[in-house]
Amino acid sequence: MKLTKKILCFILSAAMVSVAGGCTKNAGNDGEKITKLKMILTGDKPTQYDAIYGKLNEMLREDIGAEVEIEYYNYSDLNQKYSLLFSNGEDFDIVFAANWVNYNQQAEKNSFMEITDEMLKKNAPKTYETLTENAKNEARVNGKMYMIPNTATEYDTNVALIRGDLREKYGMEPITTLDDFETYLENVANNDKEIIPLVNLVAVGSFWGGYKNKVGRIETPKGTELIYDVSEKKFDKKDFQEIYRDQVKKTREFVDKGIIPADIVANKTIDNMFENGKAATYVKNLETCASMAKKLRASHPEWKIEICDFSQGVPKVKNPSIANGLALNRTTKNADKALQFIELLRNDKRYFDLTWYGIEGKHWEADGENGYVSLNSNLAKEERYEPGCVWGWKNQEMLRTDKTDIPEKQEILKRWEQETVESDIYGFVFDDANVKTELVSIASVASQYGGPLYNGMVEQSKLDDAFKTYEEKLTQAGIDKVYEETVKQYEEYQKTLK
Amino acid sequence: MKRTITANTPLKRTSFLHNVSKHKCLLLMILPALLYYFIFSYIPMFGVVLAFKKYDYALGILKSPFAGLENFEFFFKSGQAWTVTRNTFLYNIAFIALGNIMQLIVAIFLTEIGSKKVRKTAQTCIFFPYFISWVVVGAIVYNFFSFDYGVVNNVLSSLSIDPVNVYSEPKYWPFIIVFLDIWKGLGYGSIVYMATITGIDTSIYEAAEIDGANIMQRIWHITIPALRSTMITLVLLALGRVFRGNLTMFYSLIGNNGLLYNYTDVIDTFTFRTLLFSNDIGMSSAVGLYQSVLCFVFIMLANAVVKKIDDDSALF
Repeated sequence: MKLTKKILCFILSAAMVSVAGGCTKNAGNDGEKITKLKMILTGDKPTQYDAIYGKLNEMLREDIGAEVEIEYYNYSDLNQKYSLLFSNGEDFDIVFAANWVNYNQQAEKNSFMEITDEMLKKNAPKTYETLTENAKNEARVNGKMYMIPNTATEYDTNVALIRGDLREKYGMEPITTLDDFETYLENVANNDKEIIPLVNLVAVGSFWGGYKNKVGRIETPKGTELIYDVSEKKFDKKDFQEIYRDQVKKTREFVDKGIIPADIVANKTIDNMFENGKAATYVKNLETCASMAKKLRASHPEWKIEICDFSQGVPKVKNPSIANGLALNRTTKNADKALQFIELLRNDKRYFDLTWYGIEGKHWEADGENGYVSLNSNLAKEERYEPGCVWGWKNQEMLRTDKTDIPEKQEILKRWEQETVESDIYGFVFDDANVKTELVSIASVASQYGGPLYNGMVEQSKLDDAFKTYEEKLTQAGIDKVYEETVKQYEEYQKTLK
Repeated sequence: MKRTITANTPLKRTSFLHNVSKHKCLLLMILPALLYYFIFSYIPMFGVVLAFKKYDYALGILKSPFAGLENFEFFFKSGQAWTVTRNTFLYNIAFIALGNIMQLIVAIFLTEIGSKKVRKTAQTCIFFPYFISWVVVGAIVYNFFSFDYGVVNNVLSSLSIDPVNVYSEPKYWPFIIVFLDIWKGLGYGSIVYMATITGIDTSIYEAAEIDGANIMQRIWHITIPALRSTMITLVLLALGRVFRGNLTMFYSLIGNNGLLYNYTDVIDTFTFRTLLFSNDIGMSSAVGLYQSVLCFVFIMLANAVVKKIDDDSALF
């Protein structure tokens, strides 16, 4: 059995080598072997994967004598699987990296290969030139850069999608304020029993907990339960603030009114409910909402999807460049080829257009120098191209604006540009070495005591006691030490900037 | 009859090699099991050293620097160490005690059912839940107890009783969890008992029947004593894992519902949740070691107690 397997392996590999050899001959790279690169991305595999990446591999063999194979890791339980990638010693070359999948922590554990300026100059000169010092700073952990960050303007400010048909049914004018929004939610709760008004709890935190008070706040450093105020430039213990208590009270009020389901925490299908017509709102960042709106306006025009932005006047900070990027596996043997490949993805229009928009003429048509028209809606469902996780090589200079995008997106972005403030917060990397135990305890307390509060599971009458207990537990867990450590490190960091 | 040693009898060779060659067939038969435990249980044991190290992917297990007892700190400082250890222990005791009793009862009833068709059908029905994954069970339970749409609340409201929010009331969960665990393992566990029952000499039953024993007396005086040692072995084996929680089960049923933690959090779910984001290998190894030590102490104690009462039934 083993022997036959071995023989089979041998024959197969021999066959592959000869095929590869044939290809290199075509490419005119005699004698050079095709390097097989493996890249790990998140999300679902695009339906058109074979067509798109088959074509990409043709170009890649020609250009740098390499081939790439991509494995996709689903979003659910991404955090577990992602760290397992490194602890299991999985064999791959390139991996999607981002601050929201713990880039800093992974880097500190030596999961990635350092990317030096020399490596970039040699293999990815254009990338080297276009990476700003600021972006590099953000990508540095303990002075070393482990990822090639993306260069794009994005915000994590949340907006809401609502059902225009429902709004009209209730005889409401277009929704512009939070009060309108609340009335809409109440109307859904009272009139459409089979539709859940609100399932994205993040709405309460962002809208009523932040935008309503016109404060721009960022939850950072991750896992500390601290919050950074953008305009005041200072940290606060999030769960000790009045604004937090108001948010929790609001959530509970919504639960009592039937706007948020009482057992939301046990529901595992939240993210699909809006597109399945089971929820009346969808609250996410602008990018996600805009593409959801586009999709639903095509598939359910009768819903008359509308987009609402409640963040007017709130100071905003652009997402850090490390919000998306690509890193190399520490154990990769193909670092040079991998960087050459990333260079092409990021800076070569052929590669960028192919991976981002699909096959020209089939999935999209160019519209001027920087625009395009998506042809997806003309195609059968399985023929459409949804690029999935291509943000790792997002590059503002390469991006085309979609002429079929919902028009509101650009309007909102224009407004946000004007409300953007400069901030140094994203270059700040928190070193948790001194407070590891405290952070784990805080995570445990936040999940046990903070979770029920956040999810609106604590009755209005018991809230004050619950806040007190939560604060006590957080204090016991050592939040003060973490707070002081953060403030101290932040001050030191600011000194290095001057 | 006693044999006398004559001058012709060669000296009895009791050397190790002789024993090996004499029992080579038997030894060969246990070899796979020995290898399995050596490779998957003994070799990995040196990994416990990770519990005392600050793990670095680049340096590997051996070269990572020592961290003393730092990795244990988070667990005991969390304030939850006692609660989760207690929960783990009590749940497992309930699973083992009630589970074994139910399995025993089911096994006896199934073997006493006369009609083969009925017996097989009943057995299949009881066995079936064993094949449903906990994730699916979690979804089913949610559909039962969901506050707004669940079956239970629908029934309650049609009887004009106030609805219950099971997902915010910890007190219901010990019953739900114990029930589900027994329900799911019943068919599988009863098979072992059924096998033992089939092995009991039927002539004993016949003799008892002739002597006028009714069915309950036969079960009480023949079947149950015959099952005693099987039961003790199974219980002892299960006790060896009494400080390990079934992560898949607890996580599928409870998830991240903090309100229920005081009654439903076991060591494994606590560790999983708190280390999910930091993914600290040293800390998780520390908790693993803590569980192993507790389990070891407990099984030694349990075995000693059994040995005192009934020497033959003890494991070792």
